[in-house]
Amino acid sequence: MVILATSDNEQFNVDKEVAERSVLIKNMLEGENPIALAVAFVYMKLNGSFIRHEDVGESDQSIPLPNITSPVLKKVLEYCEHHRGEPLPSGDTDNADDVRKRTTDISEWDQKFITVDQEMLFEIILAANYLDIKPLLDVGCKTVANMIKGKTPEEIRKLFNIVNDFTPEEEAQIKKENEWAEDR
Amino acid sequence: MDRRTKALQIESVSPINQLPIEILVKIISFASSKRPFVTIPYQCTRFSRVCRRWRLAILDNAVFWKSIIINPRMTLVSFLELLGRSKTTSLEIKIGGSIPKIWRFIENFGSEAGRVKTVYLDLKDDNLLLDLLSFLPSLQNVFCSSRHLPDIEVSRTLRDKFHIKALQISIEGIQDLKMIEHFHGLRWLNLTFEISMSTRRSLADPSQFADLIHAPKLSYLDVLLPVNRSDENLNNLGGFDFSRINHICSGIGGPVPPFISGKHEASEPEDTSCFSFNRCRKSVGWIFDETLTSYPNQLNIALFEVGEDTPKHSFSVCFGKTTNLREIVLNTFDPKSHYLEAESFFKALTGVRTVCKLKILCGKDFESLCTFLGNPTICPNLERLTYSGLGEDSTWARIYFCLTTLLEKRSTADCFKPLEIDIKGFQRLPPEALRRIRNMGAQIVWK
Repeated sequence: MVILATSDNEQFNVDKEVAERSVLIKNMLEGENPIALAVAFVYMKLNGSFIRHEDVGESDQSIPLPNITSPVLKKVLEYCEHHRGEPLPSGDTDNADDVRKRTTDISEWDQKFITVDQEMLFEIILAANYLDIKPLLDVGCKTVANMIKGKTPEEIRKLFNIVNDFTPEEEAQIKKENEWAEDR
Repeated sequence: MDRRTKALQIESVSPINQLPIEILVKIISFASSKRPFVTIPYQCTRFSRVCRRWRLAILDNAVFWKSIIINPRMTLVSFLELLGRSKTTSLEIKIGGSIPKIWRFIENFGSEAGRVKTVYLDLKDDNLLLDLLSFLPSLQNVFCSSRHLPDIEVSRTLRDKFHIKALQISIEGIQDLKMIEHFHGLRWLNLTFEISMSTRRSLADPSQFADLIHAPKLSYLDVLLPVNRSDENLNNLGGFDFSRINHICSGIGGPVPPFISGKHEASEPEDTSCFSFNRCRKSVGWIFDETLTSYPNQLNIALFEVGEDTPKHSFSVCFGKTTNLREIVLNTFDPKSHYLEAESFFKALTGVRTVCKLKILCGKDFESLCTFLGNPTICPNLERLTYSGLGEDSTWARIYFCLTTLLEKRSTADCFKPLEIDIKGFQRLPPEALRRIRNMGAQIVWK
């Protein structure tokens, strides 16, 4: 078992196999991520406990996840638990061109899983990015992508509460620049 | 501090703008990933108008600008700007508009011409193709949408002189045997064909195109064979490598030819995304049974053009065997019709949880449909309802009542999905009614 500690000081006992869906945690447990280890070290020193290299992941020591709150980690672990045992994606094929070739289809279970409010959705995306859980990051990004597909800039702004920070001059300039794409 | 840095430092309340820029880029990449990829510039342009942060994310990424569309509204200034944004990435160009005008753009590629690897165009004559190639020395793929087929000699030149790897020709309707012979003559060039044959222009004898479907790079086959074809001829189509097809539209009745049933030793199709069962006739069960048993995951879209001799079990056979059905298109929905039993359709649909889109053309009973879909356990993933055929005599108050009842009931589901509604004639509802429907979680699609 591995203990994961969230930013709001909750601890989660997790099967090693489930926790290792996160490449970050996997590398920490294997001692292959010295930076993450160092961060964990400092964090635990500050919290009055001590962490040794061989202790990481042992039952009496926890891995601090200072960027993640307990409700978010709970959701992330639900995803990892469901997908436990599935092969982890190999290689780094995440440049925009590779992503572009993939579809935005999401499996039925994943769709249900990711049907959450916007705030939680973005928290999950951030957590997946931090923990390096590529399939979960993809599910989150695809969900947002499906939300913006076919929408006008104004509709997107409204959907995500984005402020239009273009000056009227800039807007006029951009409009002129994009005349070739009008009426689509 | 430059404008870019300033924009990046803008404090935003939007959670999406709290995401790291590389994640935003990933989201936009997914959002613009749908084929046809020549539409990407339009999508990226739209996204780049959301706010400065989005604009900079898109402008900084050359891959979003690798497709350039030269249309009549394109100016030379914009063209050069887009060329600059694409940095050193390979380019795909879509040419639409008057041919003489495009040359000033093509000429302006200058030293960048070597980056153009793919061209989409409406092929009017062979000279255009040859002229284009003389300006674009690294061109590898040409996608044409037209009724013009290049001359066999020209196609040989394309291969030997210009080293074209793929020439994809999309032709709607094979109209005569001469055309097929021509295709046959081009086979040695390793062309990619998209072939669409409609019933109206179909061939008298399907065996005439038996050779054609063995073309090495056939990727799209839309066959609507005449109903009176002989089964013997259909069997001549056997041996086709099913794994390469990514779209099949079949109206074939009778024994299923091996290339459709997958009985021959073909590999699992990887990209088959659409089977269209038009003109479902007596033997429809054959097609469903054979095809769906072999490839239960592959049927994403089912199109039903039910007719008087469509067997009543069609829906249950189809829906019962699929595991990944996303879209259903039904040509009619008339409970009074003797050939479509609404009950059998509803019953079959009850077990299909994966359906996201339901499209009904020429519907006659909106009320029954709304009552049925009002059960949130039916099609729980439904995201879009398209319906036409409300009829002039329908009371708008009644339609409004049906729809609001449907939305109200569905909104009680745990995983309620906002429903996109595309109903022909819907805009005639009073603005207040529309507003209420929107507030209930429906997005109305206007025509």
